[in-house]
Amino acid sequence: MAKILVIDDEEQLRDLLKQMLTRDGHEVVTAFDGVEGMRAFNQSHPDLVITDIIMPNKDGIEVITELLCRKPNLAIIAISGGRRAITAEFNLESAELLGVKGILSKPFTRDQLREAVNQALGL
Amino acid sequence: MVAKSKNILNFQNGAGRILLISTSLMLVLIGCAVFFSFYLETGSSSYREVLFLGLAMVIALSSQWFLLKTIQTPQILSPEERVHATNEKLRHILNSITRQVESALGIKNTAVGNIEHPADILAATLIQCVATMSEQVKTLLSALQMGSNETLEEARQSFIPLIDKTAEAITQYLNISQNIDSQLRERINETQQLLLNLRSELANVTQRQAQQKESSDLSMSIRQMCSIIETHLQIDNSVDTQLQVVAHDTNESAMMLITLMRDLSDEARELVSYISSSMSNIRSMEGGVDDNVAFIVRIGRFIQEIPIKIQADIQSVQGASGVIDGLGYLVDSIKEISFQTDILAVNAAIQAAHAGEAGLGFKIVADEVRKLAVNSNKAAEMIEAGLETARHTIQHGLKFKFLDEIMVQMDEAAHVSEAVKKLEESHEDMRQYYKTLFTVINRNNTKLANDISEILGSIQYQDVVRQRIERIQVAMQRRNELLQQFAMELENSKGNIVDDFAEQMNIVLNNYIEEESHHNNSLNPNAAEDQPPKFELF
Amino acid sequence: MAKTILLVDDSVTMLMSVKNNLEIAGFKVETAEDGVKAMAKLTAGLKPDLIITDINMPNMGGIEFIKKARALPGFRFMPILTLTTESQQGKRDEGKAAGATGWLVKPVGGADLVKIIKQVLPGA
Repeated sequence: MAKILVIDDEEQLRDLLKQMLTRDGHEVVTAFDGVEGMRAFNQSHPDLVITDIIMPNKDGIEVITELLCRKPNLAIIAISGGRRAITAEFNLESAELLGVKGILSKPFTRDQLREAVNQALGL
Repeated sequence: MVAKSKNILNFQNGAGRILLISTSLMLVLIGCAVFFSFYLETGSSSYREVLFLGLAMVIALSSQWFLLKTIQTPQILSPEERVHATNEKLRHILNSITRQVESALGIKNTAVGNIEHPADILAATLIQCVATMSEQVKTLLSALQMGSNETLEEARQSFIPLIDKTAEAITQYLNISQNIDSQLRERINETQQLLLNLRSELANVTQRQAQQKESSDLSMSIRQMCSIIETHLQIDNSVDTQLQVVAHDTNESAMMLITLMRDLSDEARELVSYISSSMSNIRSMEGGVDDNVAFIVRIGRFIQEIPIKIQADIQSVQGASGVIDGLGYLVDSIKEISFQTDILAVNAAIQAAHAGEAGLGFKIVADEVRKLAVNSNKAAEMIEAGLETARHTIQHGLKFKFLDEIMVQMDEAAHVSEAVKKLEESHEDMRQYYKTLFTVINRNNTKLANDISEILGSIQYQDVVRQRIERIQVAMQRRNELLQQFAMELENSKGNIVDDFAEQMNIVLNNYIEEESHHNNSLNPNAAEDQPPKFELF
Repeated sequence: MAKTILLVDDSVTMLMSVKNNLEIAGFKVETAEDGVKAMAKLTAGLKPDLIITDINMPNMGGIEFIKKARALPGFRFMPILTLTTESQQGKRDEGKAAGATGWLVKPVGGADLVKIIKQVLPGA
């Protein structure tokens, strides 16, 4: 199947995502923030990147911009739950405008994740 | 349709006539044979079959009669009639060309004249689009200036589809120009072919007529033909005028588009610089917030220190209370002194009474000392009462009022630090929000700038169209010159044409096709394979 | 420092659209309507980093202009591109012989044009 990079600062969600995607037969690489995520991207060259938006050090918006600048057709799925005054809708809509292939609002179901992943990979 | 059926009926060639007669005779014979053989063989054939065969015979016979009649009646066409028929044909062709050219140019009826060119309508739509678009950019800008995110979002959302729409309109517009161009080319080729056919037909007629004696009727026909060719030239001229109009119109519109696009691009640039400057505003705002945070933190710390200070105050008040207690002893000692002074004064008064006359003066002093003792005792009591009140006040106050206040202030201090935390959070949110907003707008703007750049590039089609029209004009002019010569020659030679105009006309056509093949043709599906690449570095 | 491009074309539409396009991309653009006017600008001291010229122009066409420009001192290695509707091989060979660096057939999209220019103008 595909090689997927998961970037999320929440350890629990990161592990859950890894579990779900591995069970669907994907190879999964994880990173805990944007800086680490970019490093992992350069090393593993994944087919799909799933990234959180609100993260320390380098946020998801920066990650998406940088990735799409380097590889305009890269499949990216943005996930966000929003924080305080910044809503998940704002974050996800911004990500969509930047050109991601899919968005997921936290919390999401396993089916929603699978559908988004398949769509982003063009399956 | 009329001309076509006439053509068939005017079938005048000898061989054709024989063919017609023999065919119809054959039909009759076959019909009879089939009818009789069928009737005789079956004998009892059904009524329907008989009727059918009878009907077939009737049709065959009547067509035979009809054909014979048509062939017999006109007999052989006179030369005048032939010329007339040819003229009719030419007139019909010319009319259809005129209509086609007019429809290609979008002129429904020149007499009405006020029906607009479709390219004009489209250009107007286009300009409208671009104008609305630049309006949108202005709205976007003012939304940014007002800082209203809702308006900003709204403006941005309607902005992008508008750009798409404009780009589409431009493409459509340029397509129309190209269509006009290609349709015209087709018509011109058709016309040339028709004229060539006509010319050879005419040459045939003239040749035949030359064998006979010169007829004044024929020269009239030739004159008529010359005038038709003249009219044809005039039509061409009007087409040429239209072509110039097309070239001019596309040129004007392209210019306007360029200006509008440049405006749009400048406005987009302004937008970026505005956002950049608003970013620096945000940064200075952040600086201000930072200062505020520091200030509030300081206030919080101060308030947090208040209970300690109050504690210190309580201690110092308690100290004061001790001092007051201390003062109480002082009052006691004053009282003691006053009491002893009083006793001393009483003793002194007794001693003075014993002393008699000599002690009289001393008695006065003793009385005064006693008065002093009484007074100081009164003062001591007053001081004591005052001190008591002071002590009471301090102790009471400490017990109720001060302790409550301390509790409230401790609470408030806790609130302040929470408020400071919240302020820091919303500050962080704001920073995050603007950063995202800026990233997104910046990226969309880059896309917008690219689109505008592409639109500017596609305007080059106008130049391609113009050059193509110019080549058509050149070909038409050469052809017209030739036609004029031809007409003159016809008139002068009375039908004896020496030069081979067909050949020369062919040269004009081939030159045009050859010239056209040197240039890129977007409609040619084989262009990619046949032609060299669009870009090549030597 | 913005690179300067001399644009030669007899069509005002072309001049305007390409000029605007290149200016948006950050180049400095000088224009001339034919070979004669372009030569006048060059001999008057204009030293562009790149020349883009049409082929079919009145007074002096593109091929002749390229030949004359190449003969000027300091113009031997300057990139010269054509931008024309002419597409046939014969004309291309003529252009190459005259000293053109590359051959572009109209129309060239905005982004493509800038990409090609960056190819012949490294560092632009």
